[in-house]
Amino acid sequence: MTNSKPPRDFFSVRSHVGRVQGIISAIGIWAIFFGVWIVATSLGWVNELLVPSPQKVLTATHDLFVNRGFSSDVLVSVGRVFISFAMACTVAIPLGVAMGTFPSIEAIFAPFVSAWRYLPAPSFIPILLMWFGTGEAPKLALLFIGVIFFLITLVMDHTKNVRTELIETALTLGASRYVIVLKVVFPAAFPDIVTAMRQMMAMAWTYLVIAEIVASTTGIGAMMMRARRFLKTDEILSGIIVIGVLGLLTDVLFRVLHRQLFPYIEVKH
Amino acid sequence: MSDTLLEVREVSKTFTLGSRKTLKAVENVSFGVEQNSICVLLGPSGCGKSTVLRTATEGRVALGGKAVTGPGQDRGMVFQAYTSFDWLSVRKNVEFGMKVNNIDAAKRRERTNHFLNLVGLSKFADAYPSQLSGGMRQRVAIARTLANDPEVLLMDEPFGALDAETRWLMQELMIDVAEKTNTTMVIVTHDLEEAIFLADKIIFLSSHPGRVKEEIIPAFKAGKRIADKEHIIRMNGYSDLEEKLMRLMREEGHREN
Repeated sequence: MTNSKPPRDFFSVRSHVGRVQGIISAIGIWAIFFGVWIVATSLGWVNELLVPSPQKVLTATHDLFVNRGFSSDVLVSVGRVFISFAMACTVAIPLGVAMGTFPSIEAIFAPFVSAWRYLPAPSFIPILLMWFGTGEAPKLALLFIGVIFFLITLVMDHTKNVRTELIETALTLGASRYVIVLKVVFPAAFPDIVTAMRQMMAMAWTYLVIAEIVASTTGIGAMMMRARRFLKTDEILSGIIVIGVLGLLTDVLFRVLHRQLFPYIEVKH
Repeated sequence: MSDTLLEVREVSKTFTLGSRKTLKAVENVSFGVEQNSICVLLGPSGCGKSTVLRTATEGRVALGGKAVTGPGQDRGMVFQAYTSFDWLSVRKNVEFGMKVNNIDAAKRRERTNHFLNLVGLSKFADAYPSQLSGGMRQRVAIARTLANDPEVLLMDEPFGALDAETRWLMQELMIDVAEKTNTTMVIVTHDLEEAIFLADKIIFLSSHPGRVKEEIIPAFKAGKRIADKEHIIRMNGYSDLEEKLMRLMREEGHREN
Protein backbone atom coordinates (compact mmCIF):
# COMPACT_ATOMS: atom_id res chain seq x y z
CA MET A 1 0.00 0.00 0.00
CA THR A 2 2.98 2.34 0.34
CA ASN A 3 4.65 3.87 -2.66
CA SER A 4 7.93 2.06 -2.07
CA LYS A 5 7.18 -0.87 -4.35
CA PRO A 6 10.07 -3.25 -4.90
CA PRO A 7 11.51 -2.81 -8.41
CA ARG A 8 10.06 -5.33 -10.81
CA ASP A 9 12.36 -7.83 -12.40
CA PHE A 10 12.24 -7.28 -16.20
CA PHE A 11 12.51 -11.01 -16.87
CA SER A 12 9.85 -12.21 -14.44
CA VAL A 13 8.27 -15.31 -15.91
CA ARG A 14 4.65 -14.97 -17.05
CA SER A 15 3.84 -12.04 -14.82
CA HIS A 16 1.56 -9.23 -15.90
CA VAL A 17 3.12 -6.30 -17.77
CA GLY A 18 1.89 -2.97 -16.41
CA ARG A 19 0.12 -0.38 -18.55
CA VAL A 20 3.00 2.09 -18.62
CA GLN A 21 5.57 -0.56 -19.40
CA GLY A 22 3.29 -1.89 -22.15
CA ILE A 23 2.97 1.52 -23.82
CA ILE A 24 6.67 2.28 -23.54
CA SER A 25 7.54 -1.12 -24.99
CA ALA A 26 5.15 -0.76 -27.93
CA ILE A 27 6.32 2.75 -28.82
CA GLY A 28 9.94 1.84 -28.16
CA ILE A 29 10.17 -0.91 -30.75
CA TRP A 30 8.71 1.39 -33.43
CA ALA A 31 11.00 4.22 -32.38
CA ILE A 32 13.99 1.92 -32.87
CA PHE A 33 12.68 0.79 -36.26
CA PHE A 34 12.23 4.34 -37.58
CA GLY A 35 15.42 5.47 -35.83
CA VAL A 36 17.51 2.87 -37.67
CA TRP A 37 15.74 3.77 -40.92
CA ILE A 38 16.39 7.51 -40.48
CA VAL A 39 20.01 7.04 -39.47
CA ALA A 40 20.70 4.58 -42.30
CA THR A 41 19.28 6.90 -44.95
CA SER A 42 20.74 10.17 -43.63
CA LEU A 43 24.23 8.73 -43.18
CA GLY A 44 24.14 7.21 -46.65
CA TRP A 45 24.48 3.57 -45.55
CA VAL A 46 21.88 2.60 -48.16
CA ASN A 47 21.14 3.61 -51.72
CA GLU A 48 18.76 6.57 -51.47
CA LEU A 49 17.01 5.51 -54.68
CA LEU A 50 16.12 2.04 -53.36
CA VAL A 51 15.52 2.98 -49.72
CA PRO A 52 14.08 6.50 -49.43
CA SER A 53 14.05 8.15 -46.03
CA PRO A 54 10.89 8.06 -43.87
CA GLN A 55 10.53 11.80 -44.36
CA LYS A 56 10.44 11.31 -48.15
CA VAL A 57 7.89 8.54 -47.84
CA LEU A 58 5.73 10.75 -45.65
CA THR A 59 5.96 13.62 -48.15
CA ALA A 60 5.15 11.23 -50.98
CA THR A 61 2.10 9.92 -49.08
CA HIS A 62 0.88 13.45 -48.50
CA ASP A 63 1.44 14.33 -52.15
CA LEU A 64 -0.38 11.18 -53.30
CA PHE A 65 -3.45 11.97 -51.25
CA VAL A 66 -3.58 15.73 -51.82
CA ASN A 67 -2.48 16.16 -55.43
CA ARG A 68 -2.77 12.80 -57.15
CA GLY A 69 -6.20 11.53 -56.13
CA PHE A 70 -4.84 8.52 -54.27
CA SER A 71 -7.92 8.46 -52.03
CA SER A 72 -10.04 7.18 -54.92
CA ASP A 73 -7.59 4.27 -55.33
CA VAL A 74 -7.85 3.57 -51.63
CA LEU A 75 -11.65 3.68 -51.80
CA VAL A 76 -11.65 1.29 -54.75
CA SER A 77 -9.45 -1.15 -52.83
CA VAL A 78 -11.48 -0.92 -49.64
CA GLY A 79 -14.67 -1.40 -51.65
CA ARG A 80 -13.30 -4.53 -53.30
CA VAL A 81 -12.28 -6.03 -49.97
CA PHE A 82 -15.58 -5.34 -48.27
CA ILE A 83 -17.84 -6.38 -51.15
CA SER A 84 -16.07 -9.66 -51.80
CA PHE A 85 -15.69 -10.36 -48.09
CA ALA A 86 -19.40 -9.75 -47.54
CA MET A 87 -20.21 -12.15 -50.39
CA ALA A 88 -17.91 -14.79 -48.93
CA CYS A 89 -19.49 -14.43 -45.48
CA THR A 90 -23.01 -14.64 -46.90
CA VAL A 91 -22.21 -18.09 -48.24
CA ALA A 92 -19.67 -19.33 -45.70
CA ILE A 93 -21.44 -18.58 -42.43
CA PRO A 94 -24.76 -20.35 -43.14
CA LEU A 95 -22.97 -23.23 -44.84
CA GLY A 96 -20.35 -23.57 -42.10
CA VAL A 97 -22.99 -23.52 -39.37
CA ALA A 98 -25.03 -26.12 -41.25
CA MET A 99 -21.95 -28.33 -41.71
CA GLY A 100 -21.03 -28.01 -38.05
CA THR A 101 -24.56 -28.87 -36.96
CA PHE A 102 -25.62 -31.60 -39.38
CA PRO A 103 -23.06 -34.35 -40.08
CA SER A 104 -25.05 -35.21 -43.21
CA ILE A 105 -24.37 -31.75 -44.67
CA GLU A 106 -20.75 -31.99 -43.58
CA ALA A 107 -20.45 -35.34 -45.38
CA ILE A 108 -21.48 -33.65 -48.64
CA PHE A 109 -19.43 -30.47 -48.51
CA ALA A 110 -16.37 -31.27 -46.38
CA PRO A 111 -14.55 -33.36 -49.03
CA PHE A 112 -15.21 -30.64 -51.59
CA VAL A 113 -14.25 -27.68 -49.41
CA SER A 114 -11.08 -29.22 -48.01
CA ALA A 115 -9.79 -30.01 -51.53
CA TRP A 116 -10.34 -26.40 -52.62
CA ARG A 117 -8.43 -25.13 -49.63
CA TYR A 118 -5.25 -26.63 -51.06
CA LEU A 119 -5.62 -24.80 -54.37
CA PRO A 120 -3.80 -21.48 -54.05
CA ALA A 121 -6.27 -18.75 -55.01
CA PRO A 122 -3.76 -16.79 -57.17
CA SER A 123 -3.46 -19.82 -59.46
CA PHE A 124 -6.95 -18.91 -60.66
CA ILE A 125 -5.91 -15.45 -61.85
CA PRO A 126 -5.24 -16.39 -65.52
CA ILE A 127 -8.54 -18.21 -65.93
CA LEU A 128 -10.45 -15.54 -64.00
CA LEU A 129 -9.06 -12.92 -66.35
CA MET A 130 -10.23 -14.98 -69.32
CA TRP A 131 -13.67 -15.51 -67.87
CA PHE A 132 -14.35 -12.07 -66.48
CA GLY A 133 -12.08 -9.74 -68.46
CA THR A 134 -10.33 -6.92 -66.68
CA GLY A 135 -13.20 -5.27 -64.78
CA GLU A 136 -14.08 -5.62 -61.13
CA ALA A 137 -15.34 -9.19 -61.44
CA PRO A 138 -12.00 -11.06 -61.58
CA LYS A 139 -10.70 -9.20 -58.50
CA LEU A 140 -13.84 -9.87 -56.51
CA ALA A 141 -13.78 -13.50 -57.65
CA LEU A 142 -10.16 -13.95 -56.54
CA LEU A 143 -10.83 -12.55 -53.09
CA PHE A 144 -13.97 -14.64 -52.84
CA ILE A 145 -12.12 -17.85 -53.73
CA GLY A 146 -9.23 -16.96 -51.46
CA VAL A 147 -11.40 -16.40 -48.42
CA ILE A 148 -14.45 -18.60 -48.66
CA PHE A 149 -13.05 -22.11 -48.24
CA PHE A 150 -11.00 -21.26 -45.18
CA LEU A 151 -13.91 -19.34 -43.71
CA ILE A 152 -16.30 -22.26 -44.22
CA THR A 153 -13.89 -24.59 -42.44
CA LEU A 154 -13.34 -22.21 -39.53
CA VAL A 155 -17.06 -21.55 -39.08
CA MET A 156 -17.73 -25.30 -39.20
CA ASP A 157 -15.09 -26.02 -36.56
CA HIS A 158 -16.35 -23.29 -34.26
CA THR A 159 -19.90 -24.58 -34.66
CA LYS A 160 -18.77 -28.09 -33.80
CA ASN A 161 -17.17 -26.74 -30.63
CA VAL A 162 -20.57 -25.74 -29.25
CA ARG A 163 -20.97 -28.03 -26.25
CA THR A 164 -23.38 -30.93 -26.64
CA GLU A 165 -24.87 -30.19 -23.22
CA LEU A 166 -26.23 -26.89 -24.51
CA ILE A 167 -28.00 -28.68 -27.34
CA GLU A 168 -29.27 -31.43 -25.04
CA THR A 169 -30.53 -28.83 -22.59
CA ALA A 170 -32.45 -27.06 -25.34
CA LEU A 171 -33.88 -30.40 -26.50
CA THR A 172 -35.10 -31.28 -23.01
CA LEU A 173 -36.66 -27.82 -22.75
CA GLY A 174 -38.69 -28.76 -25.79
CA ALA A 175 -36.85 -26.83 -28.49
CA SER A 176 -37.33 -27.81 -32.13
CA ARG A 177 -34.43 -28.37 -34.51
CA TYR A 178 -35.01 -24.95 -36.02
CA VAL A 179 -34.84 -23.28 -32.60
CA ILE A 180 -31.74 -25.26 -31.66
CA VAL A 181 -29.81 -24.14 -34.73
CA LEU A 182 -30.91 -20.50 -34.70
CA LYS A 183 -31.28 -19.82 -30.97
CA VAL A 184 -28.65 -22.05 -29.42
CA VAL A 185 -25.97 -23.29 -31.81
CA PHE A 186 -25.56 -20.07 -33.77
CA PRO A 187 -25.49 -17.64 -30.83
CA ALA A 188 -23.10 -19.96 -28.98
CA ALA A 189 -20.69 -20.06 -31.93
CA PHE A 190 -21.19 -16.45 -33.03
CA PRO A 191 -18.36 -14.83 -31.00
CA ASP A 192 -15.88 -17.33 -32.45
CA ILE A 193 -17.31 -16.81 -35.92
CA VAL A 194 -16.65 -13.07 -35.66
CA THR A 195 -13.07 -13.85 -34.58
CA ALA A 196 -12.72 -16.13 -37.62
CA MET A 197 -13.99 -13.29 -39.83
CA ARG A 198 -11.36 -11.01 -38.34
CA GLN A 199 -8.63 -13.50 -39.16
CA MET A 200 -9.89 -14.03 -42.71
CA MET A 201 -10.09 -10.28 -43.31
CA ALA A 202 -6.29 -10.19 -43.18
CA MET A 203 -6.24 -12.83 -45.89
CA ALA A 204 -8.67 -10.78 -48.00
CA TRP A 205 -6.23 -7.85 -47.93
CA THR A 206 -3.42 -10.13 -49.08
CA TYR A 207 -5.38 -11.35 -52.09
CA LEU A 208 -6.53 -7.84 -52.89
CA VAL A 209 -2.98 -6.63 -53.34
CA ILE A 210 -2.09 -9.67 -55.44
CA ALA A 211 -5.10 -9.03 -57.68
CA GLU A 212 -4.29 -5.35 -58.06
CA ILE A 213 -0.60 -5.89 -58.72
CA VAL A 214 -1.20 -8.55 -61.35
CA ALA A 215 -4.06 -7.07 -63.31
CA SER A 216 -5.51 -3.72 -62.41
CA THR A 217 -5.33 -0.07 -63.30
CA THR A 218 -7.05 1.09 -60.15
CA GLY A 219 -6.50 0.48 -56.47
CA ILE A 220 -3.55 0.66 -54.11
CA GLY A 221 -1.68 -2.24 -55.75
CA ALA A 222 -2.02 -0.70 -59.19
CA MET A 223 -0.62 2.60 -57.92
CA MET A 224 2.39 0.75 -56.54
CA MET A 225 3.03 -0.98 -59.85
CA ARG A 226 2.80 2.37 -61.64
CA ALA A 227 5.28 3.84 -59.16
CA ARG A 228 7.69 0.98 -59.86
CA ARG A 229 7.76 1.88 -63.54
CA PHE A 230 8.92 5.39 -62.63
CA LEU A 231 11.37 4.16 -59.94
CA LYS A 232 9.32 5.93 -57.26
CA THR A 233 10.32 3.82 -54.29
CA ASP A 234 8.87 6.38 -51.87
CA GLU A 235 5.43 5.91 -53.41
CA ILE A 236 5.73 2.12 -53.29
CA LEU A 237 6.49 2.35 -49.60
CA SER A 238 3.55 4.75 -49.17
CA GLY A 239 1.31 2.08 -50.65
CA ILE A 240 2.63 -0.53 -48.25
CA ILE A 241 2.10 1.77 -45.29
CA VAL A 242 -1.43 2.66 -46.35
CA ILE A 243 -2.30 -1.05 -46.73
CA GLY A 244 -0.84 -1.71 -43.30
CA VAL A 245 -2.82 1.10 -41.71
CA LEU A 246 -6.02 -0.05 -43.41
CA GLY A 247 -5.44 -3.61 -42.21
CA LEU A 248 -4.86 -2.35 -38.69
CA LEU A 249 -8.04 -0.26 -38.85
CA THR A 250 -10.19 -3.20 -39.97
CA ASP A 251 -8.71 -5.26 -37.18
CA VAL A 252 -9.59 -2.57 -34.64
CA LEU A 253 -13.05 -2.33 -36.20
CA PHE A 254 -13.60 -6.05 -35.67
CA ARG A 255 -12.38 -5.86 -32.09
CA VAL A 256 -14.79 -3.03 -31.34
CA LEU A 257 -17.58 -4.94 -33.08
CA HIS A 258 -16.77 -8.00 -30.98
CA ARG A 259 -16.95 -6.00 -27.79
CA GLN A 260 -20.24 -4.36 -28.81
CA LEU A 261 -21.91 -7.58 -29.95
CA PHE A 262 -20.81 -9.75 -27.05
CA PRO A 263 -20.81 -7.66 -23.87
CA TYR A 264 -21.28 -10.85 -21.81
CA ILE A 265 -17.82 -12.07 -22.73
CA GLU A 266 -16.07 -8.94 -21.50
CA VAL A 267 -17.92 -8.56 -18.20
CA LYS A 268 -15.94 -11.39 -16.66
CA HIS A 269 -12.78 -9.33 -16.43
CA MET B 1 -46.49 -40.72 -2.55
CA SER B 2 -47.87 -43.93 -3.91
CA ASP B 3 -48.68 -43.36 -7.59
CA THR B 4 -45.79 -44.30 -9.79
CA LEU B 5 -45.06 -41.42 -12.15
CA LEU B 6 -41.95 -42.63 -13.97
CA GLU B 7 -41.41 -46.27 -14.88
CA VAL B 8 -38.00 -47.45 -15.95
CA ARG B 9 -38.41 -51.00 -17.25
CA GLU B 10 -35.60 -53.35 -18.16
CA VAL B 11 -33.31 -50.72 -19.55
CA SER B 12 -30.12 -52.15 -21.04
CA LYS B 13 -27.39 -50.37 -22.91
CA THR B 14 -24.43 -51.79 -24.75
CA PHE B 15 -21.63 -49.63 -26.09
CA THR B 16 -19.48 -50.72 -29.00
CA LEU B 17 -15.76 -50.32 -28.43
CA GLY B 18 -13.86 -50.59 -31.67
CA SER B 19 -15.03 -53.18 -34.19
CA ARG B 20 -15.28 -56.35 -32.09
CA LYS B 21 -15.56 -55.44 -28.44
CA THR B 22 -18.75 -54.42 -26.80
CA LEU B 23 -19.29 -53.15 -23.29
CA LYS B 24 -22.50 -53.87 -21.45
CA ALA B 25 -22.92 -50.67 -19.49
CA VAL B 26 -26.38 -51.22 -18.11
CA GLU B 27 -28.36 -54.45 -17.84
CA ASN B 28 -32.04 -54.89 -17.05
CA VAL B 29 -32.41 -51.89 -14.82
CA SER B 30 -35.97 -51.45 -13.62
CA PHE B 31 -37.42 -49.18 -11.00
CA GLY B 32 -40.29 -46.82 -10.47
CA VAL B 33 -40.38 -43.25 -9.23
CA GLU B 34 -43.43 -42.21 -7.23
CA GLN B 35 -45.25 -38.97 -7.83
CA ASN B 36 -43.77 -36.05 -5.82
CA SER B 37 -40.84 -38.11 -4.57
CA ILE B 38 -37.10 -37.70 -4.80
CA CYS B 39 -35.38 -40.78 -6.16
CA VAL B 40 -31.58 -40.93 -6.03
CA LEU B 41 -29.55 -43.15 -8.34
CA LEU B 42 -26.42 -44.00 -6.39
CA GLY B 43 -23.46 -46.15 -7.30
CA PRO B 44 -19.73 -46.22 -7.96
CA SER B 45 -18.44 -44.19 -10.87
CA GLY B 46 -18.82 -45.99 -14.15
CA CYS B 47 -21.89 -47.98 -13.07
CA GLY B 48 -24.05 -46.43 -15.75
CA LYS B 49 -26.10 -44.10 -13.54
CA SER B 50 -25.99 -41.32 -16.08
CA THR B 51 -26.77 -43.75 -18.87
CA VAL B 52 -29.93 -44.81 -17.05
CA LEU B 53 -30.90 -41.18 -16.57
CA ARG B 54 -30.30 -40.43 -20.21
CA THR B 55 -32.57 -43.26 -21.30
CA ALA B 56 -35.22 -41.33 -19.42
CA THR B 57 -34.66 -38.50 -21.86
CA GLU B 58 -34.22 -40.77 -24.85
CA GLY B 59 -36.98 -43.31 -24.33
CA ARG B 60 -37.59 -46.85 -23.12
CA VAL B 61 -39.33 -45.32 -20.23
CA ALA B 62 -42.94 -44.69 -19.34
CA LEU B 63 -44.04 -41.41 -17.86
CA GLY B 64 -47.46 -41.32 -16.27
CA GLY B 65 -48.27 -44.63 -17.94
CA LYS B 66 -47.34 -43.45 -21.46
CA ALA B 67 -44.23 -44.60 -23.31
CA VAL B 68 -41.71 -41.85 -23.83
CA THR B 69 -40.12 -41.18 -27.20
CA GLY B 70 -37.24 -38.76 -27.57
CA PRO B 71 -36.33 -35.88 -25.30
CA GLY B 72 -39.08 -33.47 -24.44
CA GLN B 73 -40.40 -30.74 -22.23
CA ASP B 74 -42.06 -33.22 -19.82
CA ARG B 75 -38.68 -34.43 -18.55
CA GLY B 76 -36.52 -31.48 -17.53
CA MET B 77 -32.80 -32.17 -17.32
CA VAL B 78 -30.04 -30.48 -15.30
CA PHE B 79 -26.47 -31.45 -16.12
CA GLN B 80 -23.26 -31.35 -14.11
CA ALA B 81 -21.63 -29.09 -16.71
CA TYR B 82 -22.85 -25.51 -16.79
CA THR B 83 -25.50 -25.19 -19.44
CA SER B 84 -26.48 -21.57 -19.09
CA PHE B 85 -26.88 -19.79 -22.40
CA ASP B 86 -24.14 -17.21 -21.95
CA TRP B 87 -25.54 -14.77 -24.48
CA LEU B 88 -28.82 -14.40 -22.59
CA SER B 89 -29.44 -12.68 -19.27
CA VAL B 90 -30.47 -14.81 -16.30
CA ARG B 91 -34.10 -13.82 -16.87
CA LYS B 92 -33.97 -14.74 -20.57
CA ASN B 93 -32.32 -18.04 -19.70
CA VAL B 94 -35.19 -18.92 -17.41
CA GLU B 95 -37.72 -17.79 -20.02
CA PHE B 96 -36.10 -19.80 -22.81
CA GLY B 97 -38.09 -23.02 -22.40
CA MET B 98 -41.39 -21.21 -21.95
CA LYS B 99 -40.74 -19.11 -25.02
CA VAL B 100 -40.00 -22.23 -27.04
CA ASN B 101 -43.28 -23.70 -25.81
CA ASN B 102 -45.26 -20.56 -26.71
CA ILE B 103 -46.26 -19.53 -23.21
CA ASP B 104 -47.58 -15.96 -23.40
CA ALA B 105 -45.37 -13.12 -22.23
CA ALA B 106 -47.29 -12.20 -19.08
CA LYS B 107 -47.29 -15.75 -17.77
CA ARG B 108 -43.66 -16.15 -18.75
CA ARG B 109 -42.71 -13.13 -16.75
CA GLU B 110 -44.71 -14.20 -13.74
CA ARG B 111 -43.27 -17.74 -13.71
CA THR B 112 -39.74 -16.44 -14.26
CA ASN B 113 -40.04 -14.11 -11.28
CA HIS B 114 -41.52 -16.90 -9.19
CA PHE B 115 -38.75 -19.40 -9.90
CA LEU B 116 -35.93 -16.86 -9.70
CA ASN B 117 -37.28 -15.99 -6.29
CA LEU B 118 -37.48 -19.68 -5.36
CA VAL B 119 -33.79 -20.25 -6.12
CA GLY B 120 -32.79 -16.88 -4.62
CA LEU B 121 -31.66 -15.15 -7.81
CA SER B 122 -34.22 -12.34 -8.08
CA LYS B 123 -31.51 -9.73 -7.68
CA PHE B 124 -29.51 -11.21 -10.53
CA ALA B 125 -32.29 -11.38 -13.10
CA ASP B 126 -30.55 -8.98 -15.46
CA ALA B 127 -27.00 -10.28 -14.98
CA TYR B 128 -25.26 -12.48 -17.51
CA PRO B 129 -24.40 -16.04 -16.43
CA SER B 130 -20.69 -15.29 -16.83
CA GLN B 131 -21.01 -12.85 -13.94
CA LEU B 132 -22.31 -15.55 -11.60
CA SER B 133 -20.61 -18.16 -9.42
CA GLY B 134 -20.86 -21.87 -10.22
CA GLY B 135 -23.58 -22.48 -7.67
CA MET B 136 -25.63 -19.58 -8.98
CA ARG B 137 -25.32 -20.86 -12.51
CA GLN B 138 -26.68 -24.22 -11.44
CA ARG B 139 -29.54 -22.40 -9.76
CA VAL B 140 -30.26 -20.67 -13.07
CA ALA B 141 -30.35 -24.09 -14.74
CA ILE B 142 -32.71 -25.43 -12.06
CA ALA B 143 -35.01 -22.39 -12.29
CA ARG B 144 -35.01 -22.62 -16.08
CA THR B 145 -35.98 -26.28 -15.97
CA LEU B 146 -38.66 -25.87 -13.29
CA ALA B 147 -40.17 -22.83 -14.99
CA ASN B 148 -40.76 -25.03 -18.02
CA ASP B 149 -43.14 -27.10 -15.89
CA PRO B 150 -41.73 -30.59 -16.43
CA GLU B 151 -43.46 -33.69 -15.04
CA VAL B 152 -40.17 -34.88 -13.63
CA LEU B 153 -36.85 -33.17 -12.96
CA LEU B 154 -33.83 -35.29 -13.92
CA MET B 155 -30.46 -34.21 -12.53
CA ASP B 156 -27.13 -35.72 -13.54
CA GLU B 157 -24.64 -35.04 -10.72
CA PRO B 158 -25.90 -31.48 -10.65
CA PHE B 159 -23.58 -30.32 -7.86
CA GLY B 160 -20.51 -32.31 -8.87
CA ALA B 161 -18.60 -29.26 -10.03
CA LEU B 162 -19.33 -27.15 -6.95
CA ASP B 163 -17.24 -26.65 -3.84
CA ALA B 164 -18.31 -28.36 -0.62
CA GLU B 165 -20.13 -25.50 1.04
CA THR B 166 -22.06 -24.48 -2.07
CA ARG B 167 -22.89 -28.13 -2.57
CA TRP B 168 -24.72 -28.59 0.72
CA LEU B 169 -26.48 -25.26 0.38
CA MET B 170 -27.71 -26.47 -3.01
CA GLN B 171 -28.84 -29.77 -1.49
CA GLU B 172 -30.87 -27.85 1.08
CA LEU B 173 -32.27 -25.69 -1.70
CA MET B 174 -33.44 -28.84 -3.53
CA ILE B 175 -35.33 -30.02 -0.42
CA ASP B 176 -36.93 -26.59 -0.20
CA VAL B 177 -37.83 -26.66 -3.91
CA ALA B 178 -39.26 -30.19 -3.66
CA GLU B 179 -41.41 -29.21 -0.68
CA LYS B 180 -42.69 -26.01 -2.28
CA THR B 181 -43.29 -27.25 -5.82
CA ASN B 182 -44.05 -30.95 -5.32
CA THR B 183 -41.70 -31.73 -8.18
CA THR B 184 -40.79 -35.35 -8.78
CA MET B 185 -37.01 -35.67 -9.05
CA VAL B 186 -34.49 -38.26 -10.12
CA ILE B 187 -30.99 -37.32 -9.04
CA VAL B 188 -27.80 -39.13 -10.03
CA THR B 189 -24.91 -38.91 -7.58
CA HIS B 190 -21.98 -40.83 -6.18
CA ASP B 191 -21.99 -38.77 -3.00
CA LEU B 192 -23.36 -40.87 -0.10
CA GLU B 193 -24.27 -37.92 2.12
CA GLU B 194 -26.05 -36.24 -0.74
CA ALA B 195 -27.99 -39.41 -1.45
CA ILE B 196 -29.13 -39.88 2.16
CA PHE B 197 -30.01 -36.23 2.61
CA LEU B 198 -32.07 -35.90 -0.58
CA ALA B 199 -33.57 -39.32 -1.17
CA ASP B 200 -37.03 -40.58 -0.44
CA LYS B 201 -35.73 -43.69 -2.17
CA ILE B 202 -32.23 -44.75 -3.17
CA ILE B 203 -31.62 -47.03 -6.13
CA PHE B 204 -28.15 -48.48 -5.65
CA LEU B 205 -26.56 -49.61 -8.90
CA SER B 206 -23.76 -52.15 -9.12
CA SER B 207 -21.01 -51.61 -11.66
CA HIS B 208 -20.02 -53.45 -14.86
CA PRO B 209 -22.66 -53.93 -15.92
CA GLY B 210 -24.96 -51.56 -14.07
CA ARG B 211 -27.76 -53.49 -12.36
CA VAL B 212 -30.06 -52.54 -9.52
CA LYS B 213 -28.24 -53.95 -6.50
CA GLU B 214 -30.63 -52.72 -3.90
CA GLU B 215 -33.57 -50.39 -3.42
CA ILE B 216 -33.25 -48.57 -0.12
CA ILE B 217 -35.84 -46.42 1.62
CA PRO B 218 -34.18 -44.27 4.31
CA ALA B 219 -36.59 -45.47 6.99
CA PHE B 220 -35.09 -43.30 9.70
CA LYS B 221 -36.58 -40.21 8.08
CA ALA B 222 -40.04 -41.71 8.64
CA GLY B 223 -41.32 -40.41 5.33
CA LYS B 224 -40.35 -36.82 6.10
CA ARG B 225 -37.75 -34.59 4.52
CA ILE B 226 -35.21 -32.90 6.73
CA ALA B 227 -34.50 -29.29 5.83
CA ASP B 228 -30.94 -28.90 7.06
CA LYS B 229 -27.87 -31.07 7.02
CA GLU B 230 -26.62 -30.50 10.56
CA HIS B 231 -29.95 -31.83 11.75
CA ILE B 232 -29.98 -35.00 9.68
CA ILE B 233 -26.54 -36.24 10.63
CA ARG B 234 -27.61 -36.34 14.30
CA MET B 235 -30.66 -38.46 13.64
CA ASN B 236 -30.86 -42.07 14.74
CA GLY B 237 -30.27 -44.33 11.79
CA TYR B 238 -28.33 -41.82 9.69
CA SER B 239 -24.91 -43.28 10.35
CA ASP B 240 -26.22 -46.85 10.02
CA LEU B 241 -27.46 -46.03 6.53
CA GLU B 242 -24.24 -44.26 5.62
CA GLU B 243 -22.27 -47.28 6.81
CA LYS B 244 -24.47 -49.61 4.79
CA LEU B 245 -24.03 -47.54 1.64
CA MET B 246 -20.29 -47.37 2.20
CA ARG B 247 -20.17 -51.15 2.48
CA LEU B 248 -22.14 -51.51 -0.76
CA MET B 249 -19.80 -49.04 -2.44
CA ARG B 250 -16.73 -50.92 -1.20
CA GLU B 251 -18.06 -54.26 -2.39
CA GLU B 252 -18.39 -52.82 -5.88
CA GLY B 253 -14.91 -51.37 -5.70
CA HIS B 254 -13.46 -54.75 -4.73
CA ARG B 255 -15.29 -56.55 -7.47
CA GLU B 256 -13.67 -54.24 -9.93
CA ASN B 257 -10.09 -54.59 -8.76
